Amino acid sequence: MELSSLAFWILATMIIISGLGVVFLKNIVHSALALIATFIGAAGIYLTLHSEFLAAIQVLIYAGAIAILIVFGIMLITKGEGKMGETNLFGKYKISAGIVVLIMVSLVSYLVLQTPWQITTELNESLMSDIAKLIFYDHVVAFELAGVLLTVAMIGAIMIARGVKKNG
Amino acid sequence: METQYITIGILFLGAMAFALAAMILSRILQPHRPYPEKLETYECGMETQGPTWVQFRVSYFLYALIFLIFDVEAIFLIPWVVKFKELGLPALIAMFMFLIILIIGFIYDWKEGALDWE
Amino acid sequence: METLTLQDLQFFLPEVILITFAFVVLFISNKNKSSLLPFHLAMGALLGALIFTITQLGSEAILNFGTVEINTFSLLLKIVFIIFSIITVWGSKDFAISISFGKEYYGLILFATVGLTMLGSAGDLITLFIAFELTSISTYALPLIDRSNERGREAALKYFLNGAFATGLVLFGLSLVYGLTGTVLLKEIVPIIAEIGYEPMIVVALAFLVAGFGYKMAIVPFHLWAPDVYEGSPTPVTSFLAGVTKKGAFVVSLKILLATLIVIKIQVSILLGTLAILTMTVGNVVALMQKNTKRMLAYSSIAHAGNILVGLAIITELSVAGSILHIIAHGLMTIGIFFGILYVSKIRGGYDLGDFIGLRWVAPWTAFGLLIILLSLAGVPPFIGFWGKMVIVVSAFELGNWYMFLALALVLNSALSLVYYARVIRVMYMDNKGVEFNMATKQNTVIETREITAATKEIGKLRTSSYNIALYVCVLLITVTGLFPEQLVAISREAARFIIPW
Repeated sequence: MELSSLAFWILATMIIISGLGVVFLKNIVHSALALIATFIGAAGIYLTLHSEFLAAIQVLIYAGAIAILIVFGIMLITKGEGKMGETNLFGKYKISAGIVVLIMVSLVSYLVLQTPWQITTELNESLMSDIAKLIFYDHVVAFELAGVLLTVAMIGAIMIARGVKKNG
Repeated sequence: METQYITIGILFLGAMAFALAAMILSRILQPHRPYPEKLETYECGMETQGPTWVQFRVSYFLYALIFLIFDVEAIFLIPWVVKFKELGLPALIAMFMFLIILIIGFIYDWKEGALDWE
Repeated sequence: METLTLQDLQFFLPEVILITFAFVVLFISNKNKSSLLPFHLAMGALLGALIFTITQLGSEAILNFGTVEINTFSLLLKIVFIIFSIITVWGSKDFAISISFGKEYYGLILFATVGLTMLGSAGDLITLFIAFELTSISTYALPLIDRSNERGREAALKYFLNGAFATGLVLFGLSLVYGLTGTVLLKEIVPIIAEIGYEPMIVVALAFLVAGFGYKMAIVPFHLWAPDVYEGSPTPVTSFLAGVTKKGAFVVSLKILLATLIVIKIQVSILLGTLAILTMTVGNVVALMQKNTKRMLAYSSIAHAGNILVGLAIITELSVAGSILHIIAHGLMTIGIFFGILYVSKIRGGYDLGDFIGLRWVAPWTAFGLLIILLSLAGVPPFIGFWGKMVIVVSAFELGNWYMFLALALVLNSALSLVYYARVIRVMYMDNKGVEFNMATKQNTVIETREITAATKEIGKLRTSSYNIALYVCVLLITVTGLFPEQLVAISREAARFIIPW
């Protein structure tokens, strides 16, 4: 077995186990930690695909910032003492949800294997310069709009949180 | 390319093994005699009061939110900084407009008191 | 097909004006709550953007490697969305003074308008998606803008969670399309998909896209959030969500679906047709049972989403033109009617059907405005609501075969919708009880005479409220475009030609 495919299988197992942990662990804090493990596993998958920039994004934004946001979100909850069973109102649908998800996943993954995907660009010596060119030349309008989008998200979130602060 | 990761992988496995070995060894070697004082959260010092599950201030969340936004911004900075010379003036202008938009948002948060710790 | 030049930047002037003024509005001091400065700035920005967009009319350009396209379609939609925002901002003047986040309200509406104007001109999946997200994210906080409205919290949460879920579905669909074609440019996707031919994956991608946009457009069976959100939000926000941002979802789905469905046109047509019939029927039947007018209009707007979807399902140039026309028509009607019922709730204290009793004597002009919009919603000529449906039906007859059935469903549903629209009209005009609203007790009291009493005269002071202005502006536009539809139909047809890529 090749080394990169070995790394893939290890990482995939890690992602699936921690992903299951997110859903099945009883304590919501443990679920959040399992989620971080999932994010890091995904970053590892990007590395095996030689996409270092994406891996950096994954670690910095998902395993870093978003995980912190989720943990802080949990800290704002006082109800239920972090027991997943009490916070999730739709737990009783788990069997039907499981069946639907199983059908969905098997269908999509079967089709993913069947489809002839287009390979757009061959791997370049420096992926970073390709990405930089794409961001700052081809998609510069989307890039500026993304700046506005981030600012608006911040303004909207601050507005909501400020209202919470005022109301005590 | 792959050889670089092999080194990292070996280092990672070594670190894991080292930490695990320390924990397992101490578990095997230590005497196990628990008594009530020893099982408290702080063996010496104050006794803990109230439930551990308390609601935190919303201010923490606001900081995390602003951190997230600027984390995303930092990600966009990386490719720009790495290829700064090749990208030239248009990218410089684009980046500065992006930064100005985000900084205006930051000043708004500051002005509206999102960063105040009341 | 090259990078942006300085000359190209003129095409972004409307967006730049809107963004700049949105930031300026956000930096106005909080001290004077009743200041009209945010209102004037927002109106000025929108009018400036409108003027610059109108001066661009007739120009055609492909900018920045094809990621931005300026053509009749994009300019028409820019103008339409800016006009919608102008009416909403104008109507919200009295609302924004009464809330503590007045300037944020205008700021977020301006940002949402930026997203909407970019939707029309986006030429690739990334710009399209980010513009669409800008619109959605700007509006997620809007149901919460009025702190005194307790139900806004539930509405905001439902709107946000459903919206975020839908975004995830759309993103998955888009990534599958990109994986299949290897390009994000809408113009390049079409020939590549045609060359690849039928792949099962394209069905999955389209299923994700239809489901994702289905949530955003509130078509059955993805509609469950809409009535709660529309009822719980403050009414000016409802009018913006239902009348303006929801139309953005139609524009995106027009662009993306038309670009991707080429190899499975018939199947997609059947799928969308079935969804359209389901949406129209469920929306109208449930609307029949509603006592609360705000909720009734929420279901009616679901039914109208079905009407627009019929145009999408037929997939000809004329039917897409009909969809565009009906998007414009329904936007105008929704904004107008929500501001109308907001005015009624201000003088009567509620949104229930009972609050409309004898409105003819209390507020004759508002009643008349509501009458025209209700008739237009039901598709009675000569209002604009009729022409959208008309063009769609004609396009169905051109094709014949099972599309006739779609047209029949559309006509029957219009007839069905007339039942509940007419109920409101009957209550306003025919009910013989004179009802007076007591300002002191905030209660309706039934009185015997039709004489205008002192208390009713006091209501007259409210008559020039901004809510009524928005209603009258919408009524005017509905009537004028309804009486002289040729121009608008012609522009819609030309616009449709630009987004049908084959």
